[in-house]
Order: sequence, then C-alpha cells, then structure tokens
Amino acid sequence: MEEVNVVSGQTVLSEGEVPKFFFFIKEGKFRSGNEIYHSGSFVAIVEYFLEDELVSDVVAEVDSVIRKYTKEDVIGDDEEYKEVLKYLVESLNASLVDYIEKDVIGDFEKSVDVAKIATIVDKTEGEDEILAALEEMLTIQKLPELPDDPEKAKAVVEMVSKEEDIIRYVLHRLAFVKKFPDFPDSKEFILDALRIYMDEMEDRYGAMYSAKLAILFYPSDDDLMKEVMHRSVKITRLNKDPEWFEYLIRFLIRFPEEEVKLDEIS
Amino acid sequence: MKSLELPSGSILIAPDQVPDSVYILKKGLLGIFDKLERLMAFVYKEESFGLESIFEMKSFMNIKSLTQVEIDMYEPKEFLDSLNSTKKEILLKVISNRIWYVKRRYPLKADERIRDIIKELKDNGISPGEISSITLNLSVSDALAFERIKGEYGI
Repeated sequence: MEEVNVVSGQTVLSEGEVPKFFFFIKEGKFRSGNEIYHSGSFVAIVEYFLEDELVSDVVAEVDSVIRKYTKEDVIGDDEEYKEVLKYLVESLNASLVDYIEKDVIGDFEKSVDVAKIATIVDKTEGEDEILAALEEMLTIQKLPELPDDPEKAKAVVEMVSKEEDIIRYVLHRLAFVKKFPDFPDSKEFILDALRIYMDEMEDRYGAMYSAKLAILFYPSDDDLMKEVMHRSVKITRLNKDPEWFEYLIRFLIRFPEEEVKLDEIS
Repeated sequence: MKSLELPSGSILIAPDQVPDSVYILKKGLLGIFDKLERLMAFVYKEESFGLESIFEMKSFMNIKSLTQVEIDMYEPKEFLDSLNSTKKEILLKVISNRIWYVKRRYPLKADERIRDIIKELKDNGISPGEISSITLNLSVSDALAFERIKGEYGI
C-alpha cells in the first residue's frame, strides 16, 4: 500500500485503462464521469477486481491524499480485507436502493405539474406574473428541510396547520417520511398525505408519489398496503395509465379476498 | 456450520434486516431482488451471501431461491476464519461482479433487463427448465416481459 499526494485536476486513472491498482481517498474529492467520490471512498475497485476498462477518467477535484492498493495488500492483511469487503457489501446494497430513490422519488422533486402551470398561465397576464407563478410552482414542489433529530423534526411537522396551508402540511409529512422512514409516526404521515392529495386536493401526481413512497418503505405492512395498493389502482386508472392493470393484478394477488369494483374506480 | 434444504420461492434474506449468518449456496440458484421486486443479480453454486452479518449491517437485498436449494450456514467469525487467500480474492471478485450487473441492469427497461438476465443464466449453464421456473418469483411486469421474450431463447 502506497500513500500519494495528488494535485487538483490531476488524472489518476484514464478512460479505457484496465486499472493496475484501486485507491482509497484519505483526504480530498475525485470525479469519474458523473460520479463524485469523497474521502472514505474506494475508487476503481470494481474495475480492478473484474479487470475491466474504466469508462471515464478519474480526476482529482481538489488537492487530495490517496492510498493505492493492489489485491496483495488487501488479502494479506485481515483488517484491510474487512474494510474492503465492508465497502463492497455497502456498495452493493446502496446500488440496490440508489436507483429506486432516483427513479421513484427524484422525479417528483424535479418536476413541475404542467397542467397546473397551464391553468395559471391561462389566467395570468404579463410575463412577470407567469414567472412568479412558475417560481411558486417550483418552490412548492421542493420538500422542506427538517432537523436531523426525529423528535425535533416531528415537532416541526406537527406545527404546520392543514387549515392554514394544506400544501406545506403534506410536503412536511412527505419530507419526514423520506428522512425517517423507520420512525413510528411515518406510516400515519404517508397515509395522511396520500389521502389528502387524493381526496381533498385531487392531485393525482402527488397522490401517486405518496403511494410509491409507501410501497418503497413499507412493502410488508399488510394494512397499509391494502389501502395504498387499492388507491394506486384507482389513481393509475383515472390517469388512463396502462400500468393500472398491473397494479390491479398485484393487489388481487396480495389480497385475494378483497373485492375491487371497477365501476367505482373508473 | 449447519446445512439446510429449501424449496423454490423461499425467502432467505428479507430487506431491511441484519442477516443472522453468512450462507454458502451448495446447490441450486438464488436471485437478488431490489425492494420493488425486480430481479437484479444472482447467487450461484459455491457463492456466499448474508455478508452483512459480519458487520452487523442491515441488508437491503431480498434474496429468494429460484430453484430448490441446499445451503450451508456459518457464524460470521467462523466464515471469515474459513477463508484462505484464494477464497478471499474470489469473494471480492464475486461482489464486484454483482455490483457491475446491478448498475448495468438498472437503466434497462423490463424487456431488456430480462434479456440480459436470460443471457447471463444461459452463459452460466442454467438449464431452460430452471430458467423458466424463475418466472414464479418475478414481479408482474418482469414476468410479462419474460413471457414475451422467452421464445427468442428457445425456452
């Protein structure tokens, strides 16, 4: 194992290269394509062990200190081996979660409800008003920041009054669920948000987001899933989304005793 | 070390839990599913899983048997002590390989993902009959994709 100083902008490994080593970032930051690696990360480890070509350059973003490793360094030292093994197991778990969060959740925060904007634009005269309306739409889609302590965060969430600002009310609940999915109140919060989006705001996009969040975090809670999955059938059918049939099959497989009256949800 | 025999469709590791033991698959085939029940990677004969138990870490994997399986269970320390240099290196390669497959499969649509999966299974000598049996464990959209595609591979 060799410790090396790397200056900002320096390319440590190049695109197309089969790495002869992988490295640990002791201090600093690196970029490889769209991925950023911070201190505490191992870089090029998968390509090294699979003897595969790197798909992009690995470049230092700031002055950094790295430790270069080969398999001999790792296999001959029990502690180093455990660190590398732990990192790979964490990476595999993270990759099984990462994409779902980007795929299912990220979309909501970046998106703007085009139908709502069209309504606002239709009623508004002047460019400034339209821009202000657009800015408002973008702002309200962003989930609020909450304290890191769940009890303090819960207190913040419960201070928001539904009667005063229904949008802030549901967004605070969603933000809490996303940040503390294992906290006991989160199931109640996600169901509350789903019901409000669907029954009071008639916002099917927000309702589907809440439903997907519930399916992601609580797939094994039968009581919660019965309501969430049933509502998912209803939302997707109302949206004329071909996926509605798949949601229906999933619901019927999971809850064969339950009755679904299609004329009630069309 | 203890040995177990389990039928197809058994859940060996449920997501969001710390596994009790490290396991080695002695016979059969296991699938690693994500939380939305998409099949993302495999555990083949002689490969290990449940490594999170060594670090008392939660697993986000959902590991189910795709065929009837035989499994050896090890205490985490017992497992680590059993590794010689060759096995240590193979283990790092195997996990790297799983990461590579998961990252490659995520951007794919269901049809492409199932094609990729069938090809990997065929390349690893899994019989058409065994490949066919995995549909029992797929999500609805993946199972529909499998039904559309399987003819292309003589299944």
